[in-house]
Parts: sequence; C-alpha cells; structure tokens
Amino acid sequence: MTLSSKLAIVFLALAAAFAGGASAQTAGDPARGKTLYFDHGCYGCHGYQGQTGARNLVGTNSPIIAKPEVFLFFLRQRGNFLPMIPSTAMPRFSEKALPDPQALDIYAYIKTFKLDAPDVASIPVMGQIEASAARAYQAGR
Amino acid sequence: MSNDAGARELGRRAFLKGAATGTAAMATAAPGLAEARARTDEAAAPEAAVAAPPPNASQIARELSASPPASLTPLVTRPGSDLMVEVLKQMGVEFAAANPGSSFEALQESIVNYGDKPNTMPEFITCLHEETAVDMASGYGRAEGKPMVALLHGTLGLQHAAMAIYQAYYGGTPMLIIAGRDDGFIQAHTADDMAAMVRSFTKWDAHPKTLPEALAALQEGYRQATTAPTGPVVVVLDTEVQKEEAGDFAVPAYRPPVIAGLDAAAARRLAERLINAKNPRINVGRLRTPQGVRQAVQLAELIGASTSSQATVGPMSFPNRHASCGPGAATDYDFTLGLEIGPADVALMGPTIASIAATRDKMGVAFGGLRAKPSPPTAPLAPMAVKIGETIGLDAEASLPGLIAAVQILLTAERRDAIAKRAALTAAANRKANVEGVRKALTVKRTGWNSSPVSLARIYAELWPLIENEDWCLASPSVLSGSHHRELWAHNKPYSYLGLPPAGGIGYGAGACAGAGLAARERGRIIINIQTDGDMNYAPGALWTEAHHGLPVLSIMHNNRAWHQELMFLTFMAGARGRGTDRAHIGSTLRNPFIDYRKMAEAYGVAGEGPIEDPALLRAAFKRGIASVKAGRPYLIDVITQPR
Repeated sequence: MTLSSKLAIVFLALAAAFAGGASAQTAGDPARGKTLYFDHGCYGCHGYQGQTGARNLVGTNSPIIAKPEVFLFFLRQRGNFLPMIPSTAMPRFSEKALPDPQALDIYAYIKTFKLDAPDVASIPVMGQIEASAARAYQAGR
Repeated sequence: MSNDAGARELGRRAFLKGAATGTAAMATAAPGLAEARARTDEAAAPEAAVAAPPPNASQIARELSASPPASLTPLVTRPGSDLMVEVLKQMGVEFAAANPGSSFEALQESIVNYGDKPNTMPEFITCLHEETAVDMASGYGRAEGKPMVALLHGTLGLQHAAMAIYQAYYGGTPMLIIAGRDDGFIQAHTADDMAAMVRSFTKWDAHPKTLPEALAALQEGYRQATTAPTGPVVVVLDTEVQKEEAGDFAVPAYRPPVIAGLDAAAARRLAERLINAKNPRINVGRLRTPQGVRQAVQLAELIGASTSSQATVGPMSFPNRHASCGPGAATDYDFTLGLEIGPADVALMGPTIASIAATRDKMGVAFGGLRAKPSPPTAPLAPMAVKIGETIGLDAEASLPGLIAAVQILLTAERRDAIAKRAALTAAANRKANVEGVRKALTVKRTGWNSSPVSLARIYAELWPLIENEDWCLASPSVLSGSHHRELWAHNKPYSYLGLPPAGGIGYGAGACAGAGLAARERGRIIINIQTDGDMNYAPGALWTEAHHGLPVLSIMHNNRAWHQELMFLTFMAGARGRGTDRAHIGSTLRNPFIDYRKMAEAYGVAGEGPIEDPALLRAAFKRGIASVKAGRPYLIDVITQPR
C-alpha cells in the first residue's frame, strides 16, 4: 500500500468518524484566518489562494479539509510525529504554536477559497499553445 | 628560444625569485617597492612569511590615485599581451569578462587596443563583480558549447569568483579563466601557486614562466576546457610575461583537440545493430556542442529511430519536438543507443568531471556530489525496466561522424524504404503524444489562472505564443518557478534551456543570463530570464553589464519576496519542534521593506516596469519587453508572484 493510499484511508476514516451535525468548531473567522494563513506560512506551499504551489487546497476533494475536526487532527499530527504518515514537507502545527481557535480561523479562511480554473477553451493563449504543439517540427525553428 | 629571449627570461626569473621571497620585507617600515624586492634574506623567517603585509604607502597611492603603473620594460613595442590576444583570436574566443584588476592591466590594454579591429575577438566585457564574470562565462559556455574568457585579479579575484567556478566545474561548463599575477605589487593580492585555491574544482591549470609557455598554456587550456570532460581551466599569467617585449617571436598555430571516439570497426558494428533493429531508439543526453546535436539529429533521421531528449532540463540535447522525439509508435525497442545517457543496449558516455575529481582534489575536500560513492544496494529490476547493456567510455559526439558514415554505407534502397515508413509512423505517434501531453498539462496550468499574486504557470503560458517565432534561449534556472516551460514550450535548439545552477548555488542566474546574452547579441537571439528575487540580489550589477553592452535579456522577476525554499524549510523545522511557525520568516524573507526591482533596474540603466500583480497586464508588458530586447535593450518586468 502506498503512502498516499494510507493517507487517504486514514483521513477518510477520520472524516467518517467525525461525520454528523455541524460542529461548534466551525466558527472560525476567515478574516483573522487570512492573516494567520500568511503569518504561519501556509501560503508557502499552498499559494495565497490555495490554487498553486506544492499542494493545491481547492479542487482536490481532499478529506483533510472536509471537516474542521479532521483538519485539526491533521495539523497536530503531521511532520515527524505520526510514523504511519511521515512527512518532510507539511509542518506539524502544535497547539502551543497555533491554538485551536486560530487554526479554525485558518480553516474558515481556507473554506472561502474558490477554484479558479477556467476552461482551457476559454483561454486564448492556451489555444495557441495547443496549436503550437500540433505544428510540425522545422529544423532551425 | 633566442639568446635575447633567454637573457630576458633569466633576468625575469631572477626578479621573480627576489619578489617571491620578498614578502616579509614589505612588512617592514615603508620600504619602497624596489627596496622590498631587493631584500630577500629576511624572507626566510617563517613567522614573517606567513604574515599578510598591508599595502604600503606607494602601493596604496597606486591603487587609489592616478599614479601610473611601473613599467618594467618601458620601450616595449610588441608586448607579450598582444600575442596573447592573437592566440585568443586564433581560438575564436569572442569575449573576455572581467572586473578590472592591475594584475592583468597589460592584457586588458591589449584586448581593447591591439589589432586591426581592437576590442573584437575578444571583446572586453565589464563586470561589477568577479562572480558575475565567471557566471557570464557559464551562461555563454552552456549556450554555445565553447569557452569564453573570465579575467580575474590575483588572489582577490579568484576568491570572489570561487563559487561560480565551483558551479562551472560541477556543470562541466567549458571556460578559460585567466588569473593575473603581480608579484611585485600588493603582496596580499598574489600567491606562489595561485591556482591552488581553486585546483580542487577546476579541470586543469598552468602557471607558465615565459611568453612562449604562456601562449602554449592558453592554447592547451582551451583544448582542455573543450575536451571531455569539459570544464573550467585556469592559466595564471604573470604581469612580467604580459608586459615583456616579444620581439619577433611568432604566435604558434592553434591545434584543435583530437577527441577520441569509436574507431571505424566499432562504428561499423554499432551501425549494423542500429540498421538491423526493427524498432531502434536513441536516447540523447547532453552533448558537448551544437554540432553534436546536429549530428544526433542526422543519425536519428538516417535510421528512423525514435528518440528521447534532455532538452527540457538542460542544453545540448535533442530537439524535443523533432518528429522522432517521443515514445514512437511502439515501445518494444529492440535496440537502444544512449548518447551521453544510460542505461541502454549500448551507451556512449565520455568521461565526466567526476572521473577527474580525485586527481584534482589534492586537498581531499571531497565535494559531496563528486565523491566516489559506494555501490547502491541492488534492487530487483521492475518488469519492463530499461535494459542495461554495454557502456563504452568514449565521447558520444566524437563518435557520431564515424557512426553516421558507417550507417550511410550500410543503407540500401530497401532499407531506406522501410526506414521512411517507420519514421512516418513514429512521427504521427509522437505528434499525437505531444499534443495530448500539452493538453493534459494545460488542464493543470489553468488552476489559479486569474490569481493575484500571479501564477507562475501563467507567466510561462503567456510568454510562449510571444516568443515561439523568435530565436530564444531560456537561460535562467527554472525549477524554483515551476519549470512550466517543460510541458508548454518547444525546446528545439541546443540552447533552448540552459538548465539548473549546476551545484545548486543561488546567485548564478543573473550572471548566467547576461553571459547567454553575449552569445545572443551576436546571433540575433533573445534571452528569457525568469529571475528569482533571491538570486538577483547576490550580484545585481549584472543588470548594468547588460545595459552597458546592449545585451538582449528580458528579465521577468519571480518576485515572491523571499528565499522561499528556506522559508518552507524553516516553517517545517519550527513545526516539527512544535514551535512558532509564525517566526519562520525571520531571515528567510525579503520584507520590510520590499525591494523595488524596477527601480533597481532603472538605477543600473535597464528599462523596465512593475511591480505587476494583475495577471491581465502580463501580456502587454511581455510584448513591450520583447520589443525592447529585440532592439538590443535589456528590459526588466517586476512581477509579484505566487511563491511557487
């Protein structure tokens, strides 16, 4: 079983475990979260709007951000603290460094992200790139 | 050597002996230069020999005022440095980049004044830092597959340039470094064995003692730099040799290197295997020169092979949108030839820098990437693993002419028909695969298309239609900006992409792009530089060099206001320790204040615009930039980007 498969199973299970009615923990403030998202360097790997970088946050259907409880669990256990899913990229965010209310603010901010991925056909420059790929090779060009 | 020359040499050697051992004497109370040279006995004191004497009053006056240089031979009519320029002309050296230094002022004077067309072949290129001079030689060498000169001033210049030389060594980048040595001037600027400081990471060096030896050393240095393993070489030139009277000494003719390739019998055997294969494949790594790339194309076309290329990761590889480049109609290749890349049924792989590291690294520094490594544990090969066959330790490029000739002899009309049919099938399959690959990539690159700060994928995407019909070279390392060109752009020239900083050193990009700009200026080419902000700030004076010499470099700032990789590392480290991830920016970001790169460019004489945060403004800005560089004026566009 691959690491990503393990991850998916773990977090799908967690998402299921936390399934149910809305939690009081969802009451984060996205405005505060925006500042915290920047201050704690989340933008570093996920981009300022969760669209770019090493790991997109939107458009991925990730179970990690499906529920605030799963998100909190993920933050606390990442890094080198959970042998089953070790990571050398995603930091661990301890409660001391990022208390739950602040983490939930970040969660609330993340949930405001909207996928910005226009249809390829609607972007003229992408049509030009595709046409370029179809052109025959010419020596010296 | 004539008697006169011999007498001159004897005198010079006697002088050198005195000067070399006169170090301690110069530390005494304000001795004049001549006085210091004459005092040799005291130099034997070991404690004095290791002291670093400060410049004396006359030396400082020379360094800081208009005091003219002492002329050892005031009646010289044909200085040795003129002959050195002759040698550089013979070898086709186009440029000599330098931050000026007194130890090569004689050679500099010859470059700018000697000959029917002074300051041509080589042209003196003014740099604001020695690191830039060597990085420029790197960019030029990687783009053209041949050396230019970097002139460095003694111990100081070599040490300023050391990191850039180290990087060139890792990259196997050919360049001819000339280090001036003046044993009669400021002692802190000289050394007995100057090249020793960089010997562990240069391919070859010499310290000639006479003018004939100096000319021979320049020629041999060029041969060494361009022979596999290619790399930086150092020739130390004493000021006396540069300034001495050459008399009627004739410049010896340059003999190009003879690089060993396959012999005729081996070439024929290999040609037979290629010709007899039903589905041959040629994997192409990095060849030495554009001529090698042309020959690889010729071979692939002759036998109708499918090919693979490294052109999206570095220079001198196969055109990646050539009809043969791709998986082909079927991947059951029954014979694979590797050209400077393995594994394959037969791989031609010339020696690399790693093969000489042990002999050059006399100090035993054991640079990490070049140390002999223990064999990795044997892992079972996966099904369908690439076949591992014979590796022939011969230069692929040198082998290609013989191989092509052998193939041509074996080609019959019947074979040609079969090859033409196979090539047509291969071309159709590759074009389909290429279009599908680009289409797939576009569905990923569109994410964040309208983001502000600007998505890096959008920068590369917007650029391509604007440069596709230009002769362009992406000279900047691209990995930190996402390398989006790899899927979106066609890499059909030996210099389409010049690759990463070979040792991963930041600070290389700006200088390398300026160096590639030298080659571009002469050839109607333009340089694309996706310039990371961290890299720019090591030696931004490269911008001035671009402006001063009219280099067609379009710099587009990947301005994420950080040494962003370090920011991510720091964030992870703080997180792993359960501490403040909100302080990881300390020491890893470029905030408070932000740097205004348009103003920086303006200060150095480079036109520009920005900062741009709205991606809708990119296309028009890029058009302006391209128009500027096509007119020979460098241009900088500051774009505030997503971090990655």
